[in-house]
Amino acid sequence: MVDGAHVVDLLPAYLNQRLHNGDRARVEAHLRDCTACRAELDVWRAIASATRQLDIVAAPAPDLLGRIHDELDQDAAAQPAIGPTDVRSLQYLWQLLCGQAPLVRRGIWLASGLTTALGVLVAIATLHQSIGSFTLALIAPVVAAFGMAFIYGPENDPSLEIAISTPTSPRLVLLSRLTLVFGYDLLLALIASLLLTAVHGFSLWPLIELWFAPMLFLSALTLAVSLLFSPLVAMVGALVLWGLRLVQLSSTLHQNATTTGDTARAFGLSLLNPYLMILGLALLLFAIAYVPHQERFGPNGTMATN
Amino acid sequence: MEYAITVASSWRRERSGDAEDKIVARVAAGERQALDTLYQRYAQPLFGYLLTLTSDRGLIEEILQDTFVAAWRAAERFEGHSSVKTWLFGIARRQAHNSLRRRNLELTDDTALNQTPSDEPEPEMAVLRNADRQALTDAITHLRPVHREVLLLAFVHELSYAEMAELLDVPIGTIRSRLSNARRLLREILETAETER
Repeated sequence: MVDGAHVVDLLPAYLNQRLHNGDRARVEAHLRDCTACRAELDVWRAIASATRQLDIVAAPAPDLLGRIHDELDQDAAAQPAIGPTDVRSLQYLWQLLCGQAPLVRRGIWLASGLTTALGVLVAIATLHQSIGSFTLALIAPVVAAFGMAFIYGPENDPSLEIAISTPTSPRLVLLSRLTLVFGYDLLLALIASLLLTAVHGFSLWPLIELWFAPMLFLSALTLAVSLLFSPLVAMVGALVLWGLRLVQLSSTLHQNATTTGDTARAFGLSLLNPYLMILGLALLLFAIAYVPHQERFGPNGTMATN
Repeated sequence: MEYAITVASSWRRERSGDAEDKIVARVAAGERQALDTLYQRYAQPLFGYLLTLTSDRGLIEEILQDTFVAAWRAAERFEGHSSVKTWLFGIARRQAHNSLRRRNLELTDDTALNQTPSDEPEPEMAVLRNADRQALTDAITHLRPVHREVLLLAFVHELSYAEMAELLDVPIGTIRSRLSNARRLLREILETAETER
């Protein structure tokens, strides 16, 4: 705060005694010399006093606590009788997914769909089988990774603060969004593979093997980095990593590969796949374990104003 | 003018937060008495808060009941990221939102009224300073819920700007805007009442 500047914005917090010592001292120093701000303080004092008067009449009915206990008793009694808890869990999970779907950035769905569609068009247009499969193997992991960078965190979700103060835990929020976005990208890649299989006569399984493990690994890596640092760092990291792989492999591919199997061998996937899967799963587990400890959300109490 | 506002979002937690966290832990362990303790502490403040969102007392008691039942179920997932008070108010607000939506009574917002709060004193505030307390209280009851809500959260429940921002899921700047708008609207209500007299 600039010395001598008016302190109107701080007066409600000052009256509440909710200012840090430094700000409080500055407000008090300013109030000693500023008649206008002292008048403002009187206004807020009057408003505060009138507001407190509103609270006097507010009290729930005396039997409300009893009603709450009754409901909890009924809950406890009903739980085993309702039968398969699996059904209840499934219903809860379904509700959770439906609740989280609108909170995922809309751009993710559109961007993933369009990029995959473009990749499929390129892959179909090319007559070379290895280049067609190479295109899909290149695009599917990056599309999924970009989606993962934006599923969680205050930058991505203005509702996160309230979501974490309600009965849904951060882990469940992350898991449900992960299921939605990764599931969607998985579906896109499967549809793309089916289309390429139909047009080029590829074998489906080798084609899926080509992108699945890298997709899992790159997505999990991006998610972990976005939680630890920021979505931007995660996105750039994924691009750099995948770009390096592309440069390294494209020359090999052009010289030697003619089929999907050749592309897979060029990617070194028959050897890499198990490791990528294990690493991807480990990163996912880390992200799920870490998310409740991620302290970047919530206002930190300090802000600058113009 | 640019300056940094530092709001004490956690000083009260340092005083009583740990003890309250333990009460929630006991609730999570299935101890009904701990839930009673939370109820004794927060039923009345929550009732007063919900009264800013709707005037239907029957509905408020329903929401309050849902709030404590939801807190009972959710206690094991409470990890202390926010204070117990903000957590309970957050649950109550979510329950109120759901109930009001079911009855097609949306919580109103002040998007259209939002204006950047001025950090300059306003010269036209004499009407507020000189109004008697009852007239001012009446004027507050005529505010829209969104403005009455911030006044109650600030002056009755004594939440910091940061806690209000967390609870209402808006930036701290919006809290400042809403407080400033509430003050301006109170002045307008009182001026209108004076001219009508």
